Amino acid sequence: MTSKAMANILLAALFIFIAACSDAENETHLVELHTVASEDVISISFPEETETVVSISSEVEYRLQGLKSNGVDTVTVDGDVEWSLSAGAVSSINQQGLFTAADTSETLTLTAKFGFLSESIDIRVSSAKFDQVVKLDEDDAGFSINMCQYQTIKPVGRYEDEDGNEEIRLVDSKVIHQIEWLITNEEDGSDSQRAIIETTSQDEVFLHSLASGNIVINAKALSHLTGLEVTSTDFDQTIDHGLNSIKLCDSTDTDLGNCVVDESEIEKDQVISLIAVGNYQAADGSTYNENISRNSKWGIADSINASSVFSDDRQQLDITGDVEDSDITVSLACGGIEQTIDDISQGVLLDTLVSCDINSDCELASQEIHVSLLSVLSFDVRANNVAVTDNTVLNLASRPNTITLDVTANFSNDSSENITDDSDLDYFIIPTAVPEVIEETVSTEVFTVLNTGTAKIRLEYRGETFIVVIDIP
Amino acid sequence: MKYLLHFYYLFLLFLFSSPLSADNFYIEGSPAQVTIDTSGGETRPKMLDLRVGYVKSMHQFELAIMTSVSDDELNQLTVDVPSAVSVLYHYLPFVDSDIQLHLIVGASQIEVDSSYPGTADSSDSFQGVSFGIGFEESFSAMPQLKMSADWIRLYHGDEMNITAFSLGVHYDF
Repeated sequence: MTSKAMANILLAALFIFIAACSDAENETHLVELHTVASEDVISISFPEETETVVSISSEVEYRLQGLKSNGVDTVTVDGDVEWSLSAGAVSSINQQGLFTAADTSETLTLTAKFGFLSESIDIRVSSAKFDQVVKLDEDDAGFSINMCQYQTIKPVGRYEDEDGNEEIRLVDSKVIHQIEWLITNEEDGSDSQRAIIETTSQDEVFLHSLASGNIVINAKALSHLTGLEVTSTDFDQTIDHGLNSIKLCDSTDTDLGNCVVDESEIEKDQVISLIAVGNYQAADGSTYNENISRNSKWGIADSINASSVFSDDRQQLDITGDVEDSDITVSLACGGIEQTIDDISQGVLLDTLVSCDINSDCELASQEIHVSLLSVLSFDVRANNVAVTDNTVLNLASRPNTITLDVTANFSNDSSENITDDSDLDYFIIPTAVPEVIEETVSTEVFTVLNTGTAKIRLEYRGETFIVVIDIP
Repeated sequence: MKYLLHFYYLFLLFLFSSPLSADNFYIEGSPAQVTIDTSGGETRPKMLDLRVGYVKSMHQFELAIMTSVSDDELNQLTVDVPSAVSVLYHYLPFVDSDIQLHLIVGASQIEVDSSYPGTADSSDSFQGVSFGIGFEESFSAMPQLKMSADWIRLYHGDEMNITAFSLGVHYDF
């Protein structure tokens, strides 16, 4: 190649290097396609419960949902959402969807862009201040609920602005966490343990029913209008019996109609997870099954033999065996029980059997659980301080007077224990020759050497066997 | 596109104006996996990579043409690369070594077709600087025949990259 040709090439390469540049404008389309496709959504929307009226100086975390490509399922779209407000808005929103309302009233448009998809919603920032809860549901239609079920409620509040104009709208996400829910029994006004109302960190409110009967619900909250604590009017609610039966099942069961507890035995340190299943009577005469673990009452007899704890969502009870070769009884009730309960807010789990109150609607179920001995996975055996392999000849260099065994068991919970002196460990000499090569001594793990030959000792422990074979010179 | 055409022209001018001997030419063929890597996800269509070039001492000049073998899907997104054309310069810093290392620079034009439910099918074209690294080793029984492996960033963008990995055979005339 001539130097001229080489120079041509170098010049051309330099030309390309300088001239070529990235097609940034073309990238956007392909990037947006990948962004949307990665979530497998074909359209986006704001959830039905999205707040469209926001109190001044309050914060609301907006959420976007996507319709999956199957046209049925929806998914929360978390990443890569671009949030923006219409021009001139005093309120602000960050890229996590956290909206901060201005300190004056205004109307604006909130836009969420995900890939090439975009959705907008009109928001009104209102100066009206919360006064009190006036309804438990927007449509005020009420609801029916049976024992041990739950129901979403959407409290509606009365708001009033500085001109005295009244707004009746869903309680905003700030106020909803300031509400103290009071529940009393309708017949005598006493504090009720028939139901509890829970407000989640996602601003959802659930009524959990624990026993049948009529209750009165009140919402107590600070009125931002007057600065005084205001208790709402009475909201009457009936909790029906509606329950045909209850039973215990394994937490892995999906067919709640036919499920049972398949394995009622666990080893020490192993966990069995149980759920409570209720069979309900529908209004049309049919029956249906629900996981009612969260709103049922659980009791463990002989609870010292096992430790029990609800899962984080309280949809199952996890029981861990603590004491080998012991038994526990798990009892389950839905409805009124005889035992006294101090606090029902974190679920009911007593260290005694639960039993139904004869004056209340109640269904009962129970299950015996046996905590069995740890199973042995392997043995570590030493003869006169030399490691021995199961059923493999150990050749000794010289003839000892005695053979002393040292036995360690390795258990299924990854623990190990020296069991040489354990009364459950049996040593058997397997005859191999006449006269005998070894014989027992007072100590079960020590054997006297009598003659030259092959000595065999069988070890038996918790159903497992180990054969020691030693060739004695 | 016009820059690439300029370079094709210069490349051909070089090939036919230089005092070349036939045993300096080569051809190369390989399957290639192209990765389109965006901030939102990635797709990996497969292609056939055909190359012709000229090697002189520590320098190698080649034209690479890739055609689609199969598209790739990310959920409902279908992405295909019907064609990619590159003009590449390879610098071989260790010519006496059994395994040749290639440092690669050049320019590429890549066509990308995509389709997604609810949107019109589209075709985008990307042009830009390419760079990469490759390895090559001769078969001892037939020194003209070599195994080659290349990783080339065909397009390096602000929000996305297009990369080709190819593993094939190289024949020196």
